[in-house]
Amino acid sequence: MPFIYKRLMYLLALLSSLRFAVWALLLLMLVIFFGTLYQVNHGLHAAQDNFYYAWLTPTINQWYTPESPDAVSRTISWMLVPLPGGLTVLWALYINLFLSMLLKFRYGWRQVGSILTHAGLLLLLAGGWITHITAEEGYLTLQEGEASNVAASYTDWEIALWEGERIDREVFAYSVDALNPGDLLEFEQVRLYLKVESYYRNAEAFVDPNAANTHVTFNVAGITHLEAVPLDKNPERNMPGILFTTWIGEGAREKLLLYAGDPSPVMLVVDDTPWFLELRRKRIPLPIKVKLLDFRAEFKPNSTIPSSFSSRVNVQGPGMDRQVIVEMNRPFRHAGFTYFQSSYGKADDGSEMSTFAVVHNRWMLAPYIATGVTVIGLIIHFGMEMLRPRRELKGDSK
Amino acid sequence: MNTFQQFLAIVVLVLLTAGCGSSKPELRVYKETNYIEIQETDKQIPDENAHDIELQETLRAY
Repeated sequence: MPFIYKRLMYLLALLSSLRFAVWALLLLMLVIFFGTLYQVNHGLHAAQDNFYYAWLTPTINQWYTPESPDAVSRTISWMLVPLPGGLTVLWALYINLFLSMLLKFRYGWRQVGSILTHAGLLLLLAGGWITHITAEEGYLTLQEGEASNVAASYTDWEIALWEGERIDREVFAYSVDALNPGDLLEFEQVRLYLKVESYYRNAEAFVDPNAANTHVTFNVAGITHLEAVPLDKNPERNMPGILFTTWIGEGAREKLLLYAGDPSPVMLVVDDTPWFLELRRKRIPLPIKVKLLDFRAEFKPNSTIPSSFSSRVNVQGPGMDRQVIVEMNRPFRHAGFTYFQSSYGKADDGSEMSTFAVVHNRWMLAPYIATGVTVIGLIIHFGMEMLRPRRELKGDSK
Repeated sequence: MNTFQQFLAIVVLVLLTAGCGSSKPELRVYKETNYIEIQETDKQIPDENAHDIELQETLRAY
């Protein structure tokens, strides 16, 4: 027991030490440096996924391709071991800061500035983490006269199941981004089971019944098989596909293939009721229903380049039913959601459409508050140091 | 450091470690509303070739 206790105390001392913080900051510099190099060829999203939001970075052999030996890959060709990713390093810094405040700080009036500065940094890191796991971004495209209460994600996908073709429907959905072969998706409402056989994050679909890898599959477009293709630099262009073994209740097992590019949902008839199943962009439920009343655009003379455009919408929610104008640089904010005027287009029937970028982030103010607290802490700290009597300072230097 | 501080530090480390586990796919249930009411509105977005026509008319005027 004393041995374990001694080891534990050693670990706490190490994790709360200044030396640990300096090493973590150096590692963070390296991660940002290599992440920036990686971004050159693989795009921002891939760099975020593989470096900043990762526990471990990829090693060079995972992203160096001899067919295209670019200068960046050659520069860092010595990097054979993975580095701790952004998540690991930032968690290490958070633990270090928290433990040093808990175990090493002397608490008193004289330390108020220093305590506030460190508390601000803790809030900044905590806010960043919570934003990372809870914030959502999507878009909402509406035709004039159209209303909806869901936005669609740019990059995330879901398997959605709903009953019949109603205006108001209850949707049962599973996110597909973390799916692995062997995972079982259960829709108990219709006793429908989907067992993942293969999951492609980006795939091309083929209709060729004579191909070697063709399965007897069930889907609307008649797709026979999928082939994996490399992830696109622009993640919203990736088209995932999933091959399932599926069964209803105790029924026979069949192969089901869902592809993001398939325009129609698969219809299943269960107890004489039609149900629809679709692989589609993940929906973000909104706390309000947004209806596009009118879209207005002004164009530069003799061109199709817009000088400004705006949308008049009706927003309806609990205790709210009013009209709002959303225009460039003037978003509408409500309940942690921000709606930006993003784009526009024309529907097949010639009517106008407006697209809003929708961002959901309840912790949007955290970085501002954290920075404010840190700055106030620094002002108090240095102010108190400057106002300390000279005699006391001389005493310190002895 | 006193015993309480040590205890608190260990609890925080254990909670953080436990929070990093993996999870299986979770079912989400939500209400989706989507409908369209056909309405007559002003058409403001020009056709793609509209500026070409305007340009030709301007040139012809000259």
